[in-house]
Amino acid sequence: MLPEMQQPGTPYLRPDRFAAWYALDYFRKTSWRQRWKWWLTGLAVGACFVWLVAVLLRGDEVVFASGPVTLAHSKEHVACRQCHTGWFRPAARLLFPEARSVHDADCLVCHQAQAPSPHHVAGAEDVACAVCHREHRGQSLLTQMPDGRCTVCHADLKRNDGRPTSCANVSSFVGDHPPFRDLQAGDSSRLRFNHEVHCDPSGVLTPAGTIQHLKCDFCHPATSGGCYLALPRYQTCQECHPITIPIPETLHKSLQDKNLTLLLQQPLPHDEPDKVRSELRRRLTRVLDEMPEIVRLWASDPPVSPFRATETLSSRQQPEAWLESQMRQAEYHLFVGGGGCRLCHVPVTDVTAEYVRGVLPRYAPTNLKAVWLPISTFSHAAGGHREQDCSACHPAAKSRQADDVLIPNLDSCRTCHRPGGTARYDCAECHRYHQAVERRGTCKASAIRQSDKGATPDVPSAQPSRAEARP
Amino acid sequence: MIVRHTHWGWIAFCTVAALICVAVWWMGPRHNPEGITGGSTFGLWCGVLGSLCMIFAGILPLLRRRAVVLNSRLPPREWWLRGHLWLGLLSVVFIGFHSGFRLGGALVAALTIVYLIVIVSGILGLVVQSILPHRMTVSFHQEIPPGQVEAVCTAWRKECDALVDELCGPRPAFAANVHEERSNSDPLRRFYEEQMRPGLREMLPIRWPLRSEKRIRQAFEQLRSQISSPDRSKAASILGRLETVCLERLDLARQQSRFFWLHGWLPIHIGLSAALLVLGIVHVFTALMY
Repeated sequence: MLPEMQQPGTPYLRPDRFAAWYALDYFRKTSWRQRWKWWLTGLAVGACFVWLVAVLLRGDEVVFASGPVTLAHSKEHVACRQCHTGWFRPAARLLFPEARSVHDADCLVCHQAQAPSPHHVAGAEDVACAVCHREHRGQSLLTQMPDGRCTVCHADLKRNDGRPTSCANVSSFVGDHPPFRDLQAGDSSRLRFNHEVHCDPSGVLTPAGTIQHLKCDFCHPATSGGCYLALPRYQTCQECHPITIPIPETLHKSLQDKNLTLLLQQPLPHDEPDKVRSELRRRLTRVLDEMPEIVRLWASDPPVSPFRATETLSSRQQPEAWLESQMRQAEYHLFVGGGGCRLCHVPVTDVTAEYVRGVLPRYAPTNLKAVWLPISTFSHAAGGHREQDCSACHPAAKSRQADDVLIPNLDSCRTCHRPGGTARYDCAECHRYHQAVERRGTCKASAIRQSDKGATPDVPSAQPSRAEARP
Repeated sequence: MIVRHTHWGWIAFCTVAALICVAVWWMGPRHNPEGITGGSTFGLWCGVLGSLCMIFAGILPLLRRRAVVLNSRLPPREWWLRGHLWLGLLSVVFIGFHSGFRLGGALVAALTIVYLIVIVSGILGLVVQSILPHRMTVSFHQEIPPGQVEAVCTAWRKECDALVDELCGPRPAFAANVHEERSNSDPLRRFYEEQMRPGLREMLPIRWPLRSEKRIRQAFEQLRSQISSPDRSKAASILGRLETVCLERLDLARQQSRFFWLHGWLPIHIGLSAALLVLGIVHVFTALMY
C-alpha cells in the first residue's frame, strides 16, 4: 500500500465503504481472459474443421499420410487405396510387429514385371517388400535404403565358418569403402592410343588437311539411355586412319586414266590379317585384269625396293610377278609398317621376322571394357553428372598411354558424394540389391525404364564385334 | 502453480515411465536402420501412451465444470492439476518416440506444431506462475485482483469527479462547443478532463501522458502553481488526493502488465489444446485405417 493510501480519511482504511470500491459480483462478469479463451478455442477448432472439410472435398488424402510419398508414386498419382487395400491393418501391429499395411501382392500388381532377384536369395525369401522399401519417409526414391541395411552384414563380413571373406568390410562410403577393385587391376585393352594427342585443344589434322577439334563424345557417344558411353568404334577412327593400299607414284596417272584409283584407295576391311590379305589380292587382281599394261609400266621401273633387288627384267614382265610384288609391298605397309595395324594394335610376335618368312603377323585381340566397376550402377545422364565437364572425372587430356586408367577413383567420387557435398553418398546410390549378376553394371534409371517396357536394359555390349576388335 | 514437495510422486512416476520408454528404445528400435517410426510396434505403443497422457491432461478443464464432477470420491483438483502438468510433460517423451522426431506429412506436421505450441505455452505458464506471483507480492504493496480493476477504476473516477467539482465548481451539464468549454474551464478541470480522467478506465490508453511517476509529479507541481484558490489548504488537499490516485493508477497499470504475462498464455494453451484434440482424433483414425 502506498504511503498516501494509509493516510487518515482515505476510503481504503474504511471497511464500511468496502462495497463502494470493490465489485462483489466480479465472478459473474466475463473477463477478457475468458473471452479470449473461448474465442481462440472456437477459432482453432473451427479452423481445423474447415481445413479437414476442404481436404476431404478436394480428395487430397495425401495430407493424412505420415510423410510424403516417393517421386514415382506421386508422379503416377497413385491413390492411397491402390496400395493400402485393407482396412485398419496398422492397428494389428500393436500386437504383431510383422503385420504390414501393404502386402506384397499389392506391390506386385504394378511391379511384377521387374522380377526382383535379391542379392541374398536365401535370406530374402520371407521378407516382405515393405520391410525394406519404406514409403512415406520423405525420400525421393523407394530404393533409397539406409546404409544400415547393408552394413549390418558388410561392416563385418564373415564366412559361415567364421573366417573373414575376401571382400573388404565397409561401414560407409565416405569412411572405409575400399578402393575400386577394377581400377587396381589396370587397363587390359591391349590397344595403343594417345588421348593427349587426340584431345589437343588446338585440334588434330585430318587427311583432308583441315583442323578438327575432337570432343569426347566424338569417339564415345552416349548409349540410347545416356547412362553409359559407347565403346569407340573403328568406323570413327577410319575417318582419319583408313586402311588403304599404297599406290606407287609412277602408276598413279595410269590408274587414274582407267578409273582404278578408287578401287585401290577404298579402305580395306578392318578384319583378320588373312581376310585383309584376300581382299588385297582380289583388288590387285582386278587391277591387273582391267589394266594388263601395268605390268609393262612396272617392269620399266628400276627396282628400288630391297625386296625387288633380285628380280630380273624377264621375271618382272610376268603378271604374277607384278601381283606378288605389289602384295608384298602392301602387306609390309599394312602388317609391319608403323602406319598399319601397329598404329593401334599390339603385336604378339616379331612381325618383321614373320613377314620375311612369309607368315602373317599376329596381333593381340583388343579387350575394351564395356562397363567398368560392374557391381555398381552409374548414369552419365542422370543427376549432376550431365552438367559435369568430362575432364572433371576423366583426366584424358594428360594421358599418353592406352593402359592409363581414366575411370575416376574413390577420391574423385567423394568430391561430390560426401556429407555436405552435392550428391548422395549412401550405398543404394551406386549399388542395387535386386540386381542379378548378369545385369550388374546397367544404368539404374534406364534399367528400370526398359524393364518396365520389357526391353533390354541400356548397356553397351560387353565386347565390340569381332570386326571392330581385330584387324 | 508452484512446483513443491507435493509434486514428488508425480515427478518420480513420470521419470520412471520416461526411463522405461528410453530403455525399451535402447534395447530394440535403436538398431533399426530406418530409425524410429510411428508405424512400428514400439512407435504405435508410444503413440497410444502419449495420447493417454494427453487425454488425462485434457480432462482438467472438464473437472472445472461442476456438472462433470459427479462423484465426490474423485481426487481433488490439485491432484489432477499436478497430473496435468507432469503427464503432459511425459507425453513429450512418448510422442517424440512415436513421431521419430520428424514432422511427417501435412496433418502430422500440423499436429506436431500445435502440440509443441501447447507444450511450450504450458511450460511458459508454469514458469511465470512460479516466478511472477512472488515478485508481485514483493513489488506491489497493494495487489488488486484482475476482476476488480474495473470496479476500482470506476470508484476512482467517481471520487475524482467529486473532488474536481468541489474545487472548480460543478461541471456544465451541456456545452455547445467543446473547445469553448475547455477554454472557459480552469487549468485543473482542463488537466483532469484531458489527461487524468482518460486513464481512470480498465484499459489504460497507450499514450496516457501520465505514464511515469516523474510526469505525474511535474504535472501536479505545475497545477499547484497555476491554481489560485481562496482556500489554499483545501486546494492542496484535493490536489494531493488526485496525485495519489494517479500514482495508484500507475501502480495498477504495472500490475495489469504482470497479470497479462501471468494469465495471457492460458487462452493460447487451451485454444490450441482443443485443436490438438480434433487433429489428434483425425490422425489416430486415418493412421490406423491406412
